[in-house]
Amino acid sequence: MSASRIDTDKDPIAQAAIAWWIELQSGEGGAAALDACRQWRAADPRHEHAWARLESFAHAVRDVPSDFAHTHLVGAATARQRSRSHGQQRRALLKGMAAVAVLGGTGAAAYEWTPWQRLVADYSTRVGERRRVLLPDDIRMDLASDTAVSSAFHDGRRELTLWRGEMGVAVRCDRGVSPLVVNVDGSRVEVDNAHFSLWRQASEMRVDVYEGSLRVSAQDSEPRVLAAGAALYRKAGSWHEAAAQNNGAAWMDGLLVANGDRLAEVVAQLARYRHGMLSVSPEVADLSVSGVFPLDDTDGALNMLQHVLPITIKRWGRWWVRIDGAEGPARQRSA
Amino acid sequence: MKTSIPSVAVAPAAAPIDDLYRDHQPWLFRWLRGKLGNPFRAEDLTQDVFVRVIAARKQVRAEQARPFLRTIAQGLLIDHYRRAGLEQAYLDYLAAQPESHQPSAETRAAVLQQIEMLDRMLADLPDNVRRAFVMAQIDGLSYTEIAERLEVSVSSVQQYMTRALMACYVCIQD
Repeated sequence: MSASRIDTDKDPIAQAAIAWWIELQSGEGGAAALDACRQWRAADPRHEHAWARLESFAHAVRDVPSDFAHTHLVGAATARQRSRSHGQQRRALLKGMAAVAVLGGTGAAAYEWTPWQRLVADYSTRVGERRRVLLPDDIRMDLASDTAVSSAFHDGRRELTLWRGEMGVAVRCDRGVSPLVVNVDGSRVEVDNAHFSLWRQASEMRVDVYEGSLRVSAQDSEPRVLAAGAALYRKAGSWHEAAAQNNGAAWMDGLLVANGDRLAEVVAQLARYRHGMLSVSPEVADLSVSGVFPLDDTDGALNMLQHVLPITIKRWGRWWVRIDGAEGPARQRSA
Repeated sequence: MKTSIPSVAVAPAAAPIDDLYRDHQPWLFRWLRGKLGNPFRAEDLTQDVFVRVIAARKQVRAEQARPFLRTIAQGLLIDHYRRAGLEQAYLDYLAAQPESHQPSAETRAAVLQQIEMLDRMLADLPDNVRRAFVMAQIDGLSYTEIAERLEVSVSSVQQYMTRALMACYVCIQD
């Protein structure tokens, strides 16, 4: 392959094909560029061949899910995973062992690594589901809707990785060692005694500390110690201080607590717990909401909103829900 | 190469590779099994090491055979872990998707292949080049949008894309 790379660097046709590709993709030349490119391709079978080669690659990667590509194929996390790949197999084995202990021992052969077998010590929730997991080392983990976490025991400490969603973690340790590390997209959270939550969506993340303290570090920034009541938000590759959420931990009890929050924000929280479209029209998006709503019954929560706010909830089938003003243009109020 | 030091001509002569295999396969297999914890994978990788040796058409002096083989095996192990890590990450990703979005087994296999290919292609490229490529080819963003997100100029995005497409061009075998 390295020999082929040298050839390509000196291959003017490949370079021309790439230049055409970029010109068309950048949209600079418009229809004229498209015509010119067609002419170039038709001028020589080698041109067409080089073009087809580029197209076949573009074709070959288009099914890779976007959020997966950003999380695992791009950015610092990838490089770090690679450099640490050495320990992965060992961790995988230990994961298997932990699972045997937790589940009470199913055949050990089932935990041998095979490409399409899911390693069992991973915890996940579907949309709408919440789950509490007690890990053997006095760590309590709450998973919010649509969350995936993997767990390993590594060098005497628990190592969790949040792949997706939101998790609340309570850990108590008096032994003077940091028993828990949580990895999230290239950042690292080290914890002794704390109750905290961690949220991520693609490359945005948030840490909220409710009790105790913890340390957040990333390759590209100074480690920070966060005490109870503090929060950090990560966007565009760096951590910033964020305003604490008063009732941020309520979801662990299945509740959404709003205290003068915007309707759009409250609805966005509910939307995480259900499938389908849930939208709010701009005219009511800024209405102020206070109240306690059940996360396990989002339809019930929406009905409660309808009782206290001047809004109409319209449902088309099960998956499409829209919240309009009470005097919305369409008058078909849903049952 | 005529020297007094005993040498193992690996290829094309057939006998020396047999010797090399006989003398070194057992410890190499044990070593890989220790690393992988799985005898079947270890056996596959041991075979791969010798396939590489044959393909390399290199002469290996007997006393250098061990470090030579171990170097090849380490390279293969790294590849293996990387693939395994990606596979696991993809499984975790799928596990987090709603049931209605679960692809068929064939689609999974195909997507995993695409992921490995993309990973190989992107491996040696700088961060911004990888980001730009994924945004353009997978997210379908315009160069202007990519430039805004990466906080660079549009002409930088064009340079990144040139570099990424160069790498992808060589990834596709005729």
